[in-house]
Amino acid sequence: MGTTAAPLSPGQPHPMNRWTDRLPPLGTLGPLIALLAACVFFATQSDRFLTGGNLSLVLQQVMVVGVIAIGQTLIILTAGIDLSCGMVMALGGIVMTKLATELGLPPALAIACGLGVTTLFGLVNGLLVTRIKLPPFIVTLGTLNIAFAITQLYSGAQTITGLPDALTALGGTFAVGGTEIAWGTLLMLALFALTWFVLRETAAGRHVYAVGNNAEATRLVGIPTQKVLLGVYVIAGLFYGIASLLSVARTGVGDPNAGQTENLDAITAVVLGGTSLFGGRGVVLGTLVGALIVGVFRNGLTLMGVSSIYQVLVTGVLVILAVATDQLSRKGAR
Amino acid sequence: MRHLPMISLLALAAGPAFAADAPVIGLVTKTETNPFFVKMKEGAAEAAKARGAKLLTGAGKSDGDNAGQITAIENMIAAGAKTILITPSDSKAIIPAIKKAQAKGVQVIALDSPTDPAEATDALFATDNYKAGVLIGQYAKAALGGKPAKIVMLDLFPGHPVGAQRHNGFLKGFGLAAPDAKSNELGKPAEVVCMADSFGDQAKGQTAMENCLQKSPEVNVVYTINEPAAAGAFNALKKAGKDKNVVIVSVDGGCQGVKDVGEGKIAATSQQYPLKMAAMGVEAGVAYAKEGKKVSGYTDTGVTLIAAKPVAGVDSKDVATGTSLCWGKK
Amino acid sequence: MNAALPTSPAAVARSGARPGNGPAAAAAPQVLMQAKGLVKRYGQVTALDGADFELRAGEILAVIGDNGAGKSSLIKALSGAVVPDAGEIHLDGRPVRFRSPIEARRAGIETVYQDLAVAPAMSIAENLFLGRELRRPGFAGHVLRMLDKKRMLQESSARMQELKVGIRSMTQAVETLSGGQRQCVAVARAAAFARHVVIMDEPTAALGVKEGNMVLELIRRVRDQGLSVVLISHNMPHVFEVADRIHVARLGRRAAVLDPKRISMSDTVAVMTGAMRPDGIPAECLAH
Repeated sequence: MGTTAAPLSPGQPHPMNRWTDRLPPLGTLGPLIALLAACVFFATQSDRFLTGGNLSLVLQQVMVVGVIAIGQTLIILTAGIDLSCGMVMALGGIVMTKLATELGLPPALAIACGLGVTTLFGLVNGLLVTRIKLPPFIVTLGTLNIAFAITQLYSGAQTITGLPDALTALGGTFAVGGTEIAWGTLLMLALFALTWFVLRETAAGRHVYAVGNNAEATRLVGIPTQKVLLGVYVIAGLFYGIASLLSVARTGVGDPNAGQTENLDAITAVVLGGTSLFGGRGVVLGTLVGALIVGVFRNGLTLMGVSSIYQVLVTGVLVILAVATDQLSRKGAR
Repeated sequence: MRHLPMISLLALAAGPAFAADAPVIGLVTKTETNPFFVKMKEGAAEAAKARGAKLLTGAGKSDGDNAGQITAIENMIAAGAKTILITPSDSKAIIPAIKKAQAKGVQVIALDSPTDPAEATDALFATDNYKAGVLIGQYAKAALGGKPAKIVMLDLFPGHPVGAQRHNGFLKGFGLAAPDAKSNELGKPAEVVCMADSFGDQAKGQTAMENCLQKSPEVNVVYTINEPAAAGAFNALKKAGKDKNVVIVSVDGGCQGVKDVGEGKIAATSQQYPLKMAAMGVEAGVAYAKEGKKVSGYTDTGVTLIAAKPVAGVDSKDVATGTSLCWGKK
Repeated sequence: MNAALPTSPAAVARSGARPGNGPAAAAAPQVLMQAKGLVKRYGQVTALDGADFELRAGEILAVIGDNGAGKSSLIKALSGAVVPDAGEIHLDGRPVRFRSPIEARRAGIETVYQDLAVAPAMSIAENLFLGRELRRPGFAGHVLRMLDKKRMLQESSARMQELKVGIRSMTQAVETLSGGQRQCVAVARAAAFARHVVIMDEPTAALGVKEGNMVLELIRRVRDQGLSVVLISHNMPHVFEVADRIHVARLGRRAAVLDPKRISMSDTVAVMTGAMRPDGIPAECLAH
């Protein structure tokens, strides 16, 4: 830049004098460190923890929440939130199983209907947020109750059993060197990888971040903000449907009372994974780490014979740590 | 047929007067959705219809929603209920609302689980949950046939009195050291190799069983708080190839659970009778409204052990009997 | 959406403008954008009452006016944010009608908004290409829709260097920059994609003295690249420093177009507030 005119760069960025400024975006690294630390700890407490069989189990135990949390991550990235996710998942499961057993629909069609219903709920959420401009918290609080009521009414509060094999296929396993791995686990990992790819490498994915970071800016530069938002809710609904298939596959029944804790569990996984509730920041693989953290603690504490109430306590502490670390590492950047 | 006009006339004459006297009874359950309470409501509705009483129903939003139950009670009293039947979500926190109702002359009867203290309500119609546990504990011990026991216990969640009673009753019936029926602590003798919380939910029961299996693969007895948890435990055992050698016992006696007993998934279950609780409650309400007599004390609504394979020294009924008495979708 | 960024030499080819020192260098001033008789009413309030406007090629035209003078409505009409009720707009000799800011952008008019319209958590390169991302060629780009991040980084770097903005790393998040640097990013984005006009709304308003001067220098460089700049500003010293001509808006119309080299700052303010009537302006102070 050896020109006669001086380069324009007066005005330093804020001085890097706080130690928190030198941290890498802890939002992504922190949860991973926590997960590894937990694994190391539990490995010392029980020699069963680090076995292939046990770890494969943990993956199966988190796969339903994990897939729900992918959809939740997309929504939270746009600075929204979806409180209805677990209930919509339960509804999807009931629709699939009832259609396959009582109406005798071919399993593929029943599954498609279940996915259709959950995606429809996503569409309703999205339309209420984008067209009627209602806050996502309020919209999904309403649809949460509606989905729950429909599930109970449609199922008659009964679990649905006697499912055809095709519906539970994803719960089946295959052996890898002595360890049984469930197909559903692979599906969850594949979905995480796919979402990570789209969010990182495509314009549509970057637009999701942009909308969450500054929706007005995206509007001004010509990005169809409302379409992005609507798309995010619809895709999340599809993910909830996939999660309901995984839930049916894992338990072997259609359970109208499923998904009640998954609402908050999914949000917990997203927050633990370092995604900001204010939108625009976060990595979807962090959500996988967040879901694994919860699963590892539950599994590890049981192996240690510790009461499950401590698992709840630990989760609460971790959530606060996750949000606080994210805030601290960001403050230095301003 | 000649009597028809006469009967209609009588009915017409009796109608308004009859309606004016109809006792109003309120039923407040823990939730709207647990099939146990759904059946209870149905039983109450039938009994009310048969006795000419008017039934109001309400519930909390979820297990533990005390405020929702308080609201339901207040609304029902405002609508004229003279008797309140309640399955309390929080056995202590509901007491002030009960006292207020009683001060207004309303009879309050607890169903299925007691308040704490139990004397706070006029009466209690409930399963003896401790006894329910004892029965399945006895069965499990006999079914094991003298082998050293390795017991996994899938409980509800910490702090719930019904959970504690069934859990400790099971230990007592099995012949192990156990806290008594009044205790809220969960006993853990050495034979119990793993305890985990299932929240009474199938998916969580499965997760809990999987984790316990990892800890103690040599388990041979599984106690479960209710039949959905048992179904989840069975799933986990089946996936691990261990379902044949493990005795699973449970409590509830719902129709799906009895079916599972018939299919060999659950070895034995203690059947309880929500319909009976409800019917007795309605009876008490009608008696109070008509004669002003309140019921009192604790009435055991009965518990029956249902097992496909009977064992020596333990009284049980077969699956067919269980099915005829079960609650839920038959 | 795959707008290929014109490289520096092509920038000169923009609308036939010549990089230069303003209208004085050209033989006859070339009119780039023109508006006649613009009218805009909001209920009872008339924001534009037959406003005229003329922007010449390769100039910096400052638009000043008191509150309620119709200055922001004028700018909104020119940038497509608002559709006038009456009047016509010509760009490069052809009549145009913008129904949205996107249409104005397609016609080659870029706007730098007062609040910058950047996504703070995203990098400079991402912000530069926001909404106009480049995709990789071939299968990766067309089927997988993958972004060409390397090329966007290179192009961003090139644009910034052309404008002599001294930010080294295009991957740092915009929120790590100072206010002045952020303004530079927003200006560079507009300059990179504009083909005719860059409209800037109060670009120095939130900046200190040093950073404000930095942005003014940047504005000159944008003009020197061959773009015309419409500069809305309340800051008289800044206006007088960079503007080639000054458009004074008053009461929903164009009161006068002044020559900053001839008229004093206080007289300009007087015209703006109405203390000096347009017909009272000495002829040599008017821009020709």
